[in-house]
Amino acid sequence: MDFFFSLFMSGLTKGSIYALIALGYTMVYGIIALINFAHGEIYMIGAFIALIFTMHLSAPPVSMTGWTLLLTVAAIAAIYSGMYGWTVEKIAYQPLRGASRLAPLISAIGMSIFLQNYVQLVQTSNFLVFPDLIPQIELPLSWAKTLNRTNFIILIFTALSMATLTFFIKFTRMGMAMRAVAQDPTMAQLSGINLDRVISVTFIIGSVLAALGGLLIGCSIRQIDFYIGFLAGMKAFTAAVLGGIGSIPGAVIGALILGFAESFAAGYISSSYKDMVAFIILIIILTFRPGGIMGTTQTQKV
Amino acid sequence: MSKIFSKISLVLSLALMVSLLGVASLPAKAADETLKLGFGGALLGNNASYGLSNLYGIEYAIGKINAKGGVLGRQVELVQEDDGCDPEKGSTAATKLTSLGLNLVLGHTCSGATHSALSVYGDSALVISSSATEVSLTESGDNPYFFRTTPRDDAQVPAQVDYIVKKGFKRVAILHDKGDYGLALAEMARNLLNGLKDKPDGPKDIEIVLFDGITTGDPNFDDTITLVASKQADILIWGGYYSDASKLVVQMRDKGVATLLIGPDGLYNNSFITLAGAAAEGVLTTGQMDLSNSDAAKAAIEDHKTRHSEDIGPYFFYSAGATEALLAAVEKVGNTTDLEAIKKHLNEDTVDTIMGPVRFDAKGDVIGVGFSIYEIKDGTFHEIKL
Repeated sequence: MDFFFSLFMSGLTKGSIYALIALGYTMVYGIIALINFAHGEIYMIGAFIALIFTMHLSAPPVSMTGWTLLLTVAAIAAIYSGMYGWTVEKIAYQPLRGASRLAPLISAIGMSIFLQNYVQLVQTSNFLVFPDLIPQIELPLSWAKTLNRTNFIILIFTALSMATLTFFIKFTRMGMAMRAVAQDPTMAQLSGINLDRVISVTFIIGSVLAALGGLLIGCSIRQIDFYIGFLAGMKAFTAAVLGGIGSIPGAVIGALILGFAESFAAGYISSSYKDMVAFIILIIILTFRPGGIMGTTQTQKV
Repeated sequence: MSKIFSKISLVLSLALMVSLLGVASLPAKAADETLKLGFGGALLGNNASYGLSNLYGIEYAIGKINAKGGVLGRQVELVQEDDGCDPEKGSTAATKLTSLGLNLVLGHTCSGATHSALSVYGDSALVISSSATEVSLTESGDNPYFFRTTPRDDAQVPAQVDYIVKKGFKRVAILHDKGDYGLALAEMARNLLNGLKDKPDGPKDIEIVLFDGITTGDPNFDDTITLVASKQADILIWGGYYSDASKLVVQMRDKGVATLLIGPDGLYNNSFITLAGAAAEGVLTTGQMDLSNSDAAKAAIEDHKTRHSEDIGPYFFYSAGATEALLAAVEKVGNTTDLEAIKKHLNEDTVDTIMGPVRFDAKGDVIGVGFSIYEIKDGTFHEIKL
């Protein structure tokens, strides 16, 4: 039974991280029907910023430690990445808003390649050691077998972020405006909603969540390089499609299904074939529900 | 009208070709004064530390020989070409070196780049590598003028299995990264361990409890680690490079999984220790034998420290030994162009070098050099004597 619960918790942790990144894909798609391929790179940049500021803040004269350090670094990484997300939208997507759908898609791929190379050139192409920022906390002994403190904090952070996001979308004016734009951009503009601002806010929120994902994964695997955004971005994109791209609860469900599928496949079938198993599940689900689990069925061309 | 143009362009292109010929033949003439050796390897990028280790050794050996008056009365000069350990750049570097008229090359650094470079050199250059370990480079017999002073990959797995048998471990797990290097090592380990049962004096009770792969760059190895822990293995054999290994071992120790890890020479570098930090303690790796204990080696290390801030790296003595053996053969042959004669001397003569006596077998592998097992203790590698 311990084995099952260990795999369950590992799937849950994996799914949570995928969900944090997948939300960015799905929110942007919901609003402007664009697959933002540069999103995985924002996640990578979030991890780099967290690392750079940890180095500065943990050394004298500031010498932060424990929770203060973790929360400050998380806040800085979130703000900085939010600005990156905002800038990317202004540079690469806004000028192309009236263009055919393929133009912003190519622009997104270009942005992704640019950001990757930019970090590789100005930072380094080597692997960097990421410090363990998670404070020492005592978990009850019965949990400790299946869940370590890093994964525990990842789960808490993710749950809090999701709750905040849900609250934001459901109960604030900006959230309402976002839902309105997602449903009908033209009608939303006619009723006085500032489309540019809604799109900017969407990019900023998505980038903030991705940066948190980058920080948490950094703490968990203790090393980062300029290329980590690619695989994480691909997995999260898959999760978003699985759940129904454009749907926020769908992204979370899709991410969790992907996490569990990988984890249980690794445990009960083979770690070598876990990606294959996960993608077979994706194909089966999309065969029966082409729009994804929570998605609306419509024909799209990408 | 168009006919006149085509004639003019024909004349012009002929003139260009002739002028290019003149340029290309210039360096070959200049080679009369110094004896030029080529070096191809990683000098930039991710794997530069390997290439620089090779380069330092070669430069040290050349410096020593030049101080004694050089070879055939000529000073030796090294022409360097970076390949970044990239197979594509490997053939570009090889093309460049051969176009300069070089037919004696030291390198390349990584197996993949060496492979592609050798197909360019063909029969026109004699190549000695001090770090390309992939088996088929010599085993295939496709490269008659290729030699290496490093032991091969298929020598390190027996060292690991030998260690496991001697330590009396019974339950063995094997993980690999599904790549060429890692999977080949993992399969070799599986075959050797399974083969033990058929040996009359081999242990009969060693069991492979897990043989599985991971996805390189996966952000989270929790599920695989849960699997490893559930098999209650005594030791985990890792086939792959240091980046995934360091993630794996960090997350294992985080989860309180204390299974011993033994890896190939892909982990035998300081980057692994830096990345894995405290989790690296107690990890075992195979690595080229430590040759730094002789007096000549110690003097070389002291000399190196006065000129470079970096460590000598893992291949210093192997590349210095390769250089000395090659130049000794050239001295005996009396020229640099008779590759067949140089090859004959490398195969037949034993040369005393800084890495010990060097002679090559018919395939081009060095004789008498092997792998040792190292344990990481207090952040450095310590050779284990069994």
